[in-house]
Amino acid sequence: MTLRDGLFGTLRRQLAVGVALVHAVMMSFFVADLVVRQQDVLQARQVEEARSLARTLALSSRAWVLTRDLAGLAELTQAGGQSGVEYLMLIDARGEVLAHTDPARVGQYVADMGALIARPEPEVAVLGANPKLADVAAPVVAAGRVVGWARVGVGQGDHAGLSAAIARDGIVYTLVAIVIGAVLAWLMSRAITARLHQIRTVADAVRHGRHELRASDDGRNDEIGVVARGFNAMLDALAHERRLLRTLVETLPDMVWVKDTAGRYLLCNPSLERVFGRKEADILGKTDHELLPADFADHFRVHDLRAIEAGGPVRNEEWVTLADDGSRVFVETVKTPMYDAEGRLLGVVGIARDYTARLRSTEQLRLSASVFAVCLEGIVITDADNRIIDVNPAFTRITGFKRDEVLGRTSAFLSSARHGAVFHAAVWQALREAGVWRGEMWTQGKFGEEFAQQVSIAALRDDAGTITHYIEVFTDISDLKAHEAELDEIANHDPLTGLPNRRLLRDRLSQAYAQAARGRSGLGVALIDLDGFKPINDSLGHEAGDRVLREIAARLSHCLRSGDTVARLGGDEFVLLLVNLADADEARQVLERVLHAVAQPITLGEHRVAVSASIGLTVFPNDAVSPEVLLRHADAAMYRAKEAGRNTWRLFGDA
Amino acid sequence: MLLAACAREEPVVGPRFQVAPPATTGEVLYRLAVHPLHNPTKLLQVYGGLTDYLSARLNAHRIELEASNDYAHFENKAARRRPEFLLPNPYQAWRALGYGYRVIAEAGDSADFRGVFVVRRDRVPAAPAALRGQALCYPAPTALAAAMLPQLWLARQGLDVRGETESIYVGSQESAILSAYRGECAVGVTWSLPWRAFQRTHPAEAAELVAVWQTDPLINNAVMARDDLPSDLIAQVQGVLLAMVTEDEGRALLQRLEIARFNPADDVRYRHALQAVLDEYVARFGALP
Repeated sequence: MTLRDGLFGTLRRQLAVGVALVHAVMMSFFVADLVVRQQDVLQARQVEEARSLARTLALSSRAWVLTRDLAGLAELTQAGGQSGVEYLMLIDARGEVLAHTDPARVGQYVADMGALIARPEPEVAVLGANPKLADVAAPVVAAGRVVGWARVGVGQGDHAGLSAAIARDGIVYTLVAIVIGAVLAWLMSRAITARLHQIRTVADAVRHGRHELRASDDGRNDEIGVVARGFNAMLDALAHERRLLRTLVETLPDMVWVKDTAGRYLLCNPSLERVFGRKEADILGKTDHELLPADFADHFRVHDLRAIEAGGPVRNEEWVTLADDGSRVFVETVKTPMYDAEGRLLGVVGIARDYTARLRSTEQLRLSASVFAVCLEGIVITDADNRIIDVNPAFTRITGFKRDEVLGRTSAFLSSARHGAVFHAAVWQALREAGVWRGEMWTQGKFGEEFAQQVSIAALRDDAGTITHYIEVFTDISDLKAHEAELDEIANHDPLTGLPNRRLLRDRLSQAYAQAARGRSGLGVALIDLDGFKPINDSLGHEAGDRVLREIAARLSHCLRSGDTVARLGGDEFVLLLVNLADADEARQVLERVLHAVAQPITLGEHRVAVSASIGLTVFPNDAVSPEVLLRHADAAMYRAKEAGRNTWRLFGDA
Repeated sequence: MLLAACAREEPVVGPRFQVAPPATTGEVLYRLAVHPLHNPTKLLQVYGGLTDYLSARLNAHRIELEASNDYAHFENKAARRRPEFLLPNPYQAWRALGYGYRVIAEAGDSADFRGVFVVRRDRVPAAPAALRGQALCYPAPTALAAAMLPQLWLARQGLDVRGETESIYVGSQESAILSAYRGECAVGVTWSLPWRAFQRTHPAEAAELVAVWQTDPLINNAVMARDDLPSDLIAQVQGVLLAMVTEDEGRALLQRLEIARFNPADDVRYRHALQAVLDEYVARFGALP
C-alpha cells in the first residue's frame, strides 16, 4: 500500500484526512494570526510605552538640555531605567549625546536622526520597532524651539516572557487542537461513512453472490439514506432483471452457459445440465476438463478461444452426447466473447440449439419433396383463400399449366363448366365440415380440353383449428370414364338402334314418374308396335328389317319433344315417354306426328317398303298407377289400336 | 506557519552612533552661555532671538544659546571654558577674565544695572532698618546687581546683612520676586531688567508688588569670547552686536532683550568698574561669594 493509498485510499480516509488537514491548517492559521496579533499588541504597547517614556523624558529634561546640565541629564537617564528599557538618551539639537544610560555614548553623535532633526515641525517619532525593541525619539521643546531629543529604546522586558509564552502556548494549543481535530475528524468520518461502509460491504457481498442482501435503511432522508434506498432499489431492479434473465435462461430450450476467461462455468441452464448429467451447482466453478473427457473439453476450449480471438460470435455445428440419457443431439453453437464496460474480457457466452428434430424434419421434407416431385398424381397446394402456392410436375403434365402460370391464382379456373355452383358449394361444405372431399370432377386444361379427374381434397388446419391450406390430389380418369360410358351404352341401349333399351327405359320411367308425381304434370306412356314389319323382315331378310328398325327409331327420335324418351323394348316395339304433358291433346299431337312419320315409305336399296304404327297411350296421373302398370295399360291400349285397324292410337281408358 | 509567524523577519532597530559630529551643513557650532537671568525656558524665549540673529549674520557659523541651572552652574561652565561665548553679569565677567574670556561688548547701558528691592504693597517697610529680622530672597550670592550690590547698599544703610537679616538664595531673578509675592520673604531682591520683565509677564502679581529701593548703577552685563576663538569670528560677532541698534530687526531684538544697545567694552573697563565694588564687598563681608 502506498502512502497515497494509506491516506486517501478510502472515502473515510479522504474525509478524515481532508477535515484534519483543513482543521490543522485553519488552527495553525488562526493561532498563528492570534499569536501575531498578540505580539503586535505587545509591540504596540511596547511602542506606546516608549512614546510615553520619551515624552516624559523630553519634558523632564528640557531645562537640563537647555542648560546642558550633563550631570542632571545623566541622573535622568540613569534614574529612568525600568523593566524593558534598553536605553535612554538625551541628544542636543545637533545630535550629540548629552546623556545615555551607557555613559560611554556621551559625547558621541547619533547617525540616524538627521532626517528627523531636519523636520520643520518635529514630533514624537518611532524610529524603529520590532518585538525586541521600540526605538522612539521625542523632541525636547522649549520656547517653541527644539533644543534636543529624548530617545528611548524599550525592549520586551516583561513582555518578552509573555510573548514567548503566547507563542509557546499557541504552538501547544495548535498541536493539541490538531490531534483532537484529527481524532474528531476520524470519528466524524467514521460516523458519516459507517452507512456508506455498510453499503460497500453489501455491494461486495452482492458481487460475491449474496444477491438477497440489502443496505440497511434507517429512514433518514440525508444523502446517504437516499443513496442507500437508491442502492437497494437498484439491487431490487437487478434482482428482478436477474430473475427475468434466470427465468429466460432456464426456460430457453437452448443450452445456455457463461464461462470466465479461465473457462470456469459462471452460469448454465437446465438444458446444459443434460449435457453433463449434473446439476448447476455441481457445474459452476468447474471447467470442461473437470466435467468432460479431455478430447471433448479440448474441443470446447478451442472454440472458446476461437471466439475470444475473433472478438465476436463464432458458430459451429456438432453432435453432442447427452450424459443424462446417452442420446445424441445435433447442436448449432454460438459462442460470443463478453466484455465489461471498459472493454475488458470477462468470458464467453455460449448458446447451443438442438437442431436434431429440425434435421430430421428437413430430411422428411426432402423426402416429401421427392414424393411431391415424382408423384404421378397431380398435386395442388393452396392457401386458405384457395390461392395456389405450389403444384407438382404431374399437375403440369396433366393440365398443361406450368407452375409459374398458376401460382397465386385461385384454383377455380381449373373447374369445368360442367359443374355448377351447387356442386362447388357441396365440395366446400364437405371440406369445411369433414375436412376432406373425394369424388370425380371435370377439370379444364390449358387449351380448353376437359379431363375427368378422381380428386381428393384435404383441408389442413393449424392447432387452433383454422384452415390454413388445401391439398388437392387428382388422377386423370378420362380413359376410365370413356370406358364406363361405353359399358353404359352397352347395358342401357339397344345395339341396333342406339335407343335406350328396356333397362334404361325402366330408369327413365321411374325418374319421369317421380318427377310427374312431384310436379303434378302429366306423363304420357305410349307403346308402339309396328304394323307390317314382320313381312319385311321375312321377305327382305333381317338386315333389311334392321335397317327399317333403325330408320323408324330415327324418325321417332325426331318426333319427340325435348325431354321425351323413345326406347326400343325389342322386336318392333317402342315406348315413348312423354313428359310434362299439359293435357292429353298435347300427347295426341305427338302421336299424330309419330303416326305420320312412321307411315312414310322407307327405301331399302331397290325396295320401297312401308310400315305403320299402332300406338297405345296412357297418361299419368289420369291413369294413376305404378310405372309398370302404366306400361301394361299402354300395351293394352296398343292392342285396342291394333283392333281398331292399325296405324292409329288409342288412349287407355277410352271406350 | 506558526513557526514562521513566530520567526518573522524583524527590522534592525536601534540607534547608530558616530564619534564625529554630522557634517551635514558645514556650519561650525558655537555656544553662547547666558547667565541665569531667567529660568532656562524664559531665557531661551528672550535670548533665543539673539543667537538666531547672530547665526544669520555669521558666515558658516552658528551660535546656540546655552542656559544654566543657576549661577554656580553658569560659573562652573565658564571655569571649565565650555561655552565659546558668555553673557555674564559684571562680577561673573570679572571672574571669567581669569578663565580666559575676553570682553567684546557691554549688553545695555551701565545706568540700567542697579539692584531693586521688591516688596508686597501690603508689607512695605518704612526704611531698610525695618528689615531687621526679615528674610530677603536673592537669586544667588554671586548675582552682582541682584545680591552683591543690594547687600552693599543695605550695609551702607547701616544694616548688618549677615547678622540682622536672613539671606535666602532662590536661584533666579523671577524666583526672588515671586518669593516676595508669596510672602516667603519680606523683600525680593532683583535688578532693574528682570523687574521690568516680571511686570510685563506677570502683571497681576506685579500689581501686588512695589519696588521700594534701588541701588546705584554699576556697569551692565558683558559679552565675552573665549580667547582661543578666531579673531575674525570675534570681530564678526562684535560687529553684529554693535550694529544691532542700527537696523530695525536689531532694534526690535534689543527691545525684546530690554537693553538699549550693545556698547563697545573691553577687559580693562570691567576690571576697573568692578574692583572698587569688590574691594568694598570684601571689606564689609570678608570674602567674595
